[in-house]
Amino acid sequence: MLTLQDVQKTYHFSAPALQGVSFSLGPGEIVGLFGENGAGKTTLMKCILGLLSYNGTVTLDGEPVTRKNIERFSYATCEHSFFPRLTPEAHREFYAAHFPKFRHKRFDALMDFFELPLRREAGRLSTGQQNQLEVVLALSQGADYILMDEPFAGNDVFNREDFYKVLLGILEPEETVLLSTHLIEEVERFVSRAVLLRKGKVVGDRTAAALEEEGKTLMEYVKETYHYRADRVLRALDRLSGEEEKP
Amino acid sequence: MKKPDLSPLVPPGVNGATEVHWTLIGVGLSAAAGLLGFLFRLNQHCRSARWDLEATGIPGEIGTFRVILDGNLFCFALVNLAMAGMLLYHIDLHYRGSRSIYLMRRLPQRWELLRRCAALPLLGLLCSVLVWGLLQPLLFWMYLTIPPRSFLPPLYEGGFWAALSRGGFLC
Repeated sequence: MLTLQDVQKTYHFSAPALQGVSFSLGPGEIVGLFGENGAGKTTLMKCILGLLSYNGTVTLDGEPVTRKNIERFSYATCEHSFFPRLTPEAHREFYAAHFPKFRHKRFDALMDFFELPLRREAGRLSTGQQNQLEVVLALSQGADYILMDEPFAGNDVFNREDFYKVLLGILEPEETVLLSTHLIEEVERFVSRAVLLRKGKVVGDRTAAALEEEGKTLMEYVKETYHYRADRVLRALDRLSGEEEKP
Repeated sequence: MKKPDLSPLVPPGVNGATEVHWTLIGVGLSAAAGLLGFLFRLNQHCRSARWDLEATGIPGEIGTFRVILDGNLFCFALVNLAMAGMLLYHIDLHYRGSRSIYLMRRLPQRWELLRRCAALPLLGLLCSVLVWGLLQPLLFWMYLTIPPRSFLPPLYEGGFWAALSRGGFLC
């Protein structure tokens, strides 16, 4: 169980990025982390991984996240964390050398699925291919908790659709995914829970089952939680056209 | 003889052999420049001392060892600066083209990032300091043996060990 308790993060000379975030992730959950730009999604993931300093506690099965258990996390980020000068093949060797639970079979299968070249330097792949490599490595590391921060930025819709299906097929019952994305309607079919962030605070946390009981889609829940005003576009257009009509 | 695998000592994707190659060239050139510069200045001092002898009949004195050595080993400082530059370059590589720093900081092996960034620069610095250190006694020996004995200041009379014991190496 990954538990966050009152996690707070403030960057120098700016507003707080995270304000008392608390929630838990259990084994096997596929959790969508949603929020507007600047809500704190990336900051939250980096705090979990210890890439940023923070106040509060993050524990994994009751223990702080340290070098002893960090291998239980993997991370796929839209910023990319691969080595540009290494080929995917060399990445496999690197990962296998440093993460004893590296899944070679899964790596090979995903590389085949995405049709990624094994012997081209990662820096020379297209943006979409780089995103795919990033996700392949995160899924193959052998981690229990897979954190993905907007991993599909730049990928076409067909690739994304295929990927969601593969993801659901390959994940094992004890693997947990925390997925941050803006593509709510695409992922709502396979996330089991949605955590909503706004200005560094958790403003919503609902399971897919609960939403279904309430008869709501994830998008409706998000709009409701963010107090999305559907008429704001119409009002803005009205105001603009009203200004143009003035003599 | 099998070449050592330097890949664990450099950031992934960097050619360690190339960096070692250029470091050794830098150290070698620094040693060569130091040696040639020292011999050139020693020759100048000897010429000056010979002119004094021819003009006045009294043998002139060449400068002390440190006076003749002064500045000739400067190139080693450049090599050392280059090693600092190499260290910064290795660190910077983890932020270029991607953020592989995120992966390196997630590794279970605590010293992996530090080792890959600092190993070759530190070894290069060590090599530079070692060659700089070994070159000086050699130059000191040349200083004592190449010029005629009459040109040497009194501090250096009595041979290598005598001069050494009187602190001639530091003067």
